[in-house]
Amino acid sequence: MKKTFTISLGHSVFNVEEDAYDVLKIYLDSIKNYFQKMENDSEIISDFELRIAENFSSKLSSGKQYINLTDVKEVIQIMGSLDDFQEIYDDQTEDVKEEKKENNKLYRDSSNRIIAGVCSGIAEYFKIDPIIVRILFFIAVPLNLIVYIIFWIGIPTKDFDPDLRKILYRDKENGVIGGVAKGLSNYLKIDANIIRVVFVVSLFFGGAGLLFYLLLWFFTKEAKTIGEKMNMSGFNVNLSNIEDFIKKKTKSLNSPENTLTKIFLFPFRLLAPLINVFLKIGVFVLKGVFFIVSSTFIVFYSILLVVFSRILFEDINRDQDPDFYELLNAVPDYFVIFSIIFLILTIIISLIISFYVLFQRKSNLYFFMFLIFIWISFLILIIVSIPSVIFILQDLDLLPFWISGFENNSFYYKWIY
Amino acid sequence: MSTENFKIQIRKGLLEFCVLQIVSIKEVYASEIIEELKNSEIIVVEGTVYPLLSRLKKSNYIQHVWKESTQGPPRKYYSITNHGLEHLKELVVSWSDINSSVKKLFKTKK
Repeated sequence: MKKTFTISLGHSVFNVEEDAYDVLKIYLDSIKNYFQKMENDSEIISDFELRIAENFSSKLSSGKQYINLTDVKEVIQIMGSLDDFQEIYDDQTEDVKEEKKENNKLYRDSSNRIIAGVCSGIAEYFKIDPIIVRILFFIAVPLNLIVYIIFWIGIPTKDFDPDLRKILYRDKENGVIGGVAKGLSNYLKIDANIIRVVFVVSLFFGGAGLLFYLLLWFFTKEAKTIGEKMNMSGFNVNLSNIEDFIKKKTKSLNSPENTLTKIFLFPFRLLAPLINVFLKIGVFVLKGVFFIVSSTFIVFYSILLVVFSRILFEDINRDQDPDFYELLNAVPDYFVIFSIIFLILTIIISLIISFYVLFQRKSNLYFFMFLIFIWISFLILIIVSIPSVIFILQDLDLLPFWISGFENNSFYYKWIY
Repeated sequence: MSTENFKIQIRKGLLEFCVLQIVSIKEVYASEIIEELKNSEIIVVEGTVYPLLSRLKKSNYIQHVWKESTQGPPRKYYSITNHGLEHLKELVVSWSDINSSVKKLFKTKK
């Protein structure tokens, strides 16, 4: 049994087996890339796809309803690889190279992004791996948020070609725990065991390695498709390389590990399932804790919201607590309105974040950023208006003891005088 | 220069000429052009034809129309333009010139 994908190609629909799909996709992407750079003509590609579709149709019959790897390979043979085109059109590829050199402006990378492609764009600019920039941004909390948003607004996007860059992936297939070390070894072209030793040794020196390991685990994607696996190993994705890559892969699987590595890796192999289970439990527990904390917060904010709206509509029993009533009455209306809007926004934002963390439900990113923006504006409004509220209360001698008690140390107090 | 390379260079030079010739006889669609070229062993892989067709169209030597086909999706039928016909005539002249010069060269050598 094999998984198939349904694709539309040249106005027709085909069922393509998974491995065949991988190869076909890489082939079409590389062709697209080449012709786009060369002639800048989308017609070539659509004609090309039309012809591939014709070839595929001739391979289907009532007894065979899907396209397999052999079909794709045969069709690629018929259509020709990049090398064949380069032989014919070699005079034009040089112009393309020159064009590329000029292109050194800072863009946001829309083809390889997590939020808005800022990190990836910076990485493209300096020709380094996006992961480095991402970790640097992560470490620089909270300054990075401001920088990120400024970059987000100020820099246009561009589709970069991810095939031309070496990208750090996790190599879970060949890894021991999460494939981080193996992925790093593919990336740095260092033997994986050396990296593993470094990680293990670092455990005994304050655990910096563990933190680094977890950071990388969190920030890197697992290499899943053939294209990603090839990128991981620094292969440029094109046809002649696909075959090399597959050959190499089968070879490396056959080479046995020596006894020393086996002994060294044995405890980790043993631990790996355990660690994976722990991680899963850990994520589960974290989600549980998050659920409790976030629901508490939301309930708390809702209660505050009710209190504030009652203040606004002066719906508090005077006889029950006259002092409290007077205090609330003295608080200016605008402050109460700010607080109510702020609370409503807080509740909405907490709900969105909770849904995202617990159920991976994404809301519209721009809508979310808009909410955050308004939320911050109201936060600022409230912070700015707190001193004047304190003034008013002070004048009326209504300042509660717990504020007046802190008066001398209070930040606001110093700020006002 | 290897024999293979020699062949590639010659084919490369003649590909445009051959495609124009095929298109000038009757209205054809891409697959027919490819079949014809493959039968006469001018091209080895099919993909090389498409950029050429695009370039010929840009130079206004050929034009195309979409036509429904009995089987499968609509096809693009190519035909030669007057401009292309003139160009082809020039090419035929220069080709026969070159052809005869090369032949003459070989005759004198014998």
